[in-house]
Amino acid sequence: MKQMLNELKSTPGVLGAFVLHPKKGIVANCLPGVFKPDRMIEVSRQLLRIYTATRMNSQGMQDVRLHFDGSIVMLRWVSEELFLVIFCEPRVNTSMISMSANLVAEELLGGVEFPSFAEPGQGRAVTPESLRDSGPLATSLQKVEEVLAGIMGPMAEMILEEAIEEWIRTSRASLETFSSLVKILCREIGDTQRAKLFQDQIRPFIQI
Amino acid sequence: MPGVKGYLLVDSDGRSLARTLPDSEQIGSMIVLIRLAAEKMRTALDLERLRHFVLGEGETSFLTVFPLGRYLLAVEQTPQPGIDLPQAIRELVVRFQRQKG
Repeated sequence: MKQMLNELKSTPGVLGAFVLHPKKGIVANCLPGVFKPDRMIEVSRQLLRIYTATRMNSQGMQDVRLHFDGSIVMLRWVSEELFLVIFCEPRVNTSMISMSANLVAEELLGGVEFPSFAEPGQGRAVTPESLRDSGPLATSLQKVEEVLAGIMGPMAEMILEEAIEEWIRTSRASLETFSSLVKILCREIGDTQRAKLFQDQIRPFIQI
Repeated sequence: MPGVKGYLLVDSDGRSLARTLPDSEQIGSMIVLIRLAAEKMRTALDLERLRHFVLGEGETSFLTVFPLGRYLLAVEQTPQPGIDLPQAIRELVVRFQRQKG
């Protein structure tokens, strides 16, 4: 999913994008750092309100474009449970963006998976999903996600996914380097007190 | 204007002031709610003015909505190649305001 978004981001004029689920929040994104998670929660809430308002009027509505001075925000329905949100420059070719959005929507709808390349010696590529779904780290990561959700709310899944990606890039993801992941997550939490609360709550499950 | 199928002018409560579009009550309420949500997004993202928003039903029909002070002007259009309808309507509104002013 992230790869699809990165390809979308390479379209001229696209600043970033995310996939929104009404209950889970932002499930994947390729947003630059200026788009802070707490602000994205508010943006997501308002986008879902817009969706509800339009759907009450017309079942045929497919997208909404909000043209602000400085940028365009595009909301594209993928399905009842999945929306694509794209941030663009104001002078962007909206027809081209609309076409790119359609392609991504089709891929999301069809569950198209891009092939991944395993590193030499590995059976398959290490991804946040593969680490969370199975293997020696799965239980610990699921506990971490539960605790993080209690502290960060609906952004937890997105924050954890990005943190795991960084962990995979910078350390060899394993129980021995779990403290590196915790450090990344504490940095993402930002607030010292909440970061300490996070560490206290995961300590019973993870040796850090 | 080429491609324009109808219009609706509503006040900040969504009440219709002038229209050629059907379902003016429903559309009026919808666009007021969307504007409110868009303004909250604008604040959250530190963006500047909301110029207009576009509601699209596939490639065949669009409703473009312009905030005009405490009013909203909704214009239904079919896409016309080579015509920047939002810009044309903005120019029309500015001309009208100058005439009135």
